[in-house]
Amino acid sequence: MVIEEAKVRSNGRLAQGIYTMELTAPVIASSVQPGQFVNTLISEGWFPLLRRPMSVASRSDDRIGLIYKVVGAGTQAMASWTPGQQVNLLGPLGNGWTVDEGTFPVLVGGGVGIAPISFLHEELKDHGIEHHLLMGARDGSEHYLQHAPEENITLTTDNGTVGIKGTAIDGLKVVLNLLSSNSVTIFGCGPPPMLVALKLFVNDQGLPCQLATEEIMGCGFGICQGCSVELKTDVDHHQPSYRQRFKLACIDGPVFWAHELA
Amino acid sequence: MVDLTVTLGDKLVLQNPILTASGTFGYGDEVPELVDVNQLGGLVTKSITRHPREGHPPPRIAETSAGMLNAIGLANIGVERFCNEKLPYLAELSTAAIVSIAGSSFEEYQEVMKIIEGRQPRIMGYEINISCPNVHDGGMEFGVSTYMTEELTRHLRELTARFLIVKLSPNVTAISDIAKAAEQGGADAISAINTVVGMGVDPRTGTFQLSTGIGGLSGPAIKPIALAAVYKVAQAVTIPVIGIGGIMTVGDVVAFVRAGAHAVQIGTANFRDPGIGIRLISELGSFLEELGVSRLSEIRGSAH
Ligand SMILES: Cc1cc2nc3c(=O)[nH]c(=O)nc-3n(C[C@H](O)[C@H](O)[C@H](O)COP(=O)(O)OP(=O)(O)OC[C@H]3O[C@@H](n4cnc5c(N)ncnc54)[C@H](O)[C@@H]3O)c2cc1C
Ligand SMILES: Cc1cc2nc3c(=O)[nH]c(=O)nc-3n(C[C@H](O)[C@H](O)[C@H](O)COP(=O)(O)O)c2cc1C
Ligand code: FES
Repeated sequence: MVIEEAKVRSNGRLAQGIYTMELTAPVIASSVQPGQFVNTLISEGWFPLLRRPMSVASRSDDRIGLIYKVVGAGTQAMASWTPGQQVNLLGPLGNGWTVDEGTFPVLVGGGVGIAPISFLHEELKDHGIEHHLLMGARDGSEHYLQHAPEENITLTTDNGTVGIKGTAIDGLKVVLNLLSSNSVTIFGCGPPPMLVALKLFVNDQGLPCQLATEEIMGCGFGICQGCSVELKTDVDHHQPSYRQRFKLACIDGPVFWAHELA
Repeated sequence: MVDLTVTLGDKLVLQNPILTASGTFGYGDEVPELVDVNQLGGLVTKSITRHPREGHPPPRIAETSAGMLNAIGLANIGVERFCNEKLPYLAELSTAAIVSIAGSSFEEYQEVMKIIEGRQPRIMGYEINISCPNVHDGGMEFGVSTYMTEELTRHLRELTARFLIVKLSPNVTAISDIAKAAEQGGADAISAINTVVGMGVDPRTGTFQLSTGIGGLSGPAIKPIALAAVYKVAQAVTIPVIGIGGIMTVGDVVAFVRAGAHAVQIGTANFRDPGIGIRLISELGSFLEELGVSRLSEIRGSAH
């Protein structure tokens, strides 16, 4: 983990409301793993006050890429950054995905959950590991990939304009039916409703699944105790404990096994 | 040359007046690769309770205008793990290590302190977080009652010869009375302030921004409240005051000193920039040099 003065190389619109930025950040780029994030200082002034966590969406040589959705003042400011601008990044943070050999990875991303999923997708490709990539969106305009199930890329849209009509979970059912492999691991990241639906589905089906959670963060490196994620535990809630029921998304996560989440 | 050392009463000399605030820098050992804590004037640990605490459900944090709300719920490892896992590290530090203690009854505070004292640790002192609800008194905070503040301080004073700081809550009608009560009880110093009661509501859904509804506000938004509190307390007591609340710049540090603070603690600012404390130390030297001031005592309490 370092604080690095990164430099914006490019920044632009990727799809409806979604932007992508590439930054030169040699130190972070040299060690970041898929599923990890950087905590981005938005302003030298105090608005916004806190850093904004952003998953790393790609890495090449001395660069990292982000994919972000404009939802408030911080991401709005990010969208206005221009090439050459210096940006103070803290990272890489968090645990990242763990890919076990011997199971077929199915990657499920929705909304800006595509960021950590894209990074994992590229890493798996680089390592020649066959896998399926499934992306969900409300509308075709939010997609930037082509629907190509034969190339292991499946898209879904709520309104059916592109790919399979339905949610990412509907798409996942189709993909799982087509897969010959009987041992899969699912890697998921997306907006809260999708994460909840995915968690319920995989837990119901008994499928191993790693989910990247998005909690509001104060620091991003374990000192504020702000980013609690509730886990299922056998611990009696009346017995005193620490970080058994509530883990910290920034250092214990952001990736958790779906069956562990409450 | 500017001399940044500060003497707090006759017990404690700090190499400089910049400390980290409780709950905003963990136990000090989390980010050795980012910050050399030994350069700080001191560090105050996360508040320790008798037993480990999970803290509150999410969301525990929300950003507000120039500040943040939190409802961490004193998540901490508990005094036993603290003694085993953190005291050895704190003992090795050359900077002043101050252990923050919290509890919901007199007995709990006392037990925590007894257990730590029993280890004869190499720590400089304690900071007593009195912003915790007293379970025996219907949840009323220790820090809102002069009686409870004085009694609690007295009980803890009996248990330790180490430097004893009482940390005040701003959520009271007369903070100087509480400060006097802590002084009466035997405190060596006062620190002020803890977070200001605050709340956030999502206008669309009506949901609270924190799982607990009400929480504590910190950051630049509370700096004027903190300055006024420090000023009032410094007028009311003879023991040293440590200023806390919204400190982000070297100018803020000096303003707190001028309001009467001997030293300051940096809280929320650490989340943006964990190295801020160390940066402020070097900036403070230059700032004072420009003012033609050679030690902080020359300008302490000079606000007029
Ligand atoms: C580990 C992690 C990785 C993330 N990766 C990405 C990413 O790759 N791309 C991306 O677009 N977003 C990502 N996020 C979410 C991103 O941090 C928030 O969208 C961002 O902080 C919002 O800032 P803002 O100032 O624009 O909005 P604000 O005005 O602060 O908030 C707008 C809305 O976003 C919600 N929000 C604020 N902070 C967070 C947060 N930390 N997590 C989730 N929701 C939040 C608020 O509750 C509010 O509803 C990630 C979050 C985490 C914790
Ligand atoms: C996330 C968070 C956790 C905190 N935890 C504690 C704590 O455990 N004990 C305590 O005495 N104060 C705690 N505080 C209060 C701070 O130490 C400090 O008094 C307050 O935040 C005001 O300073 P600031 O504006 O510089 O943050 C906490 C503050 C924050 C923001
Ligand atoms: S964000 Fe501060 S502990 Fe996780």
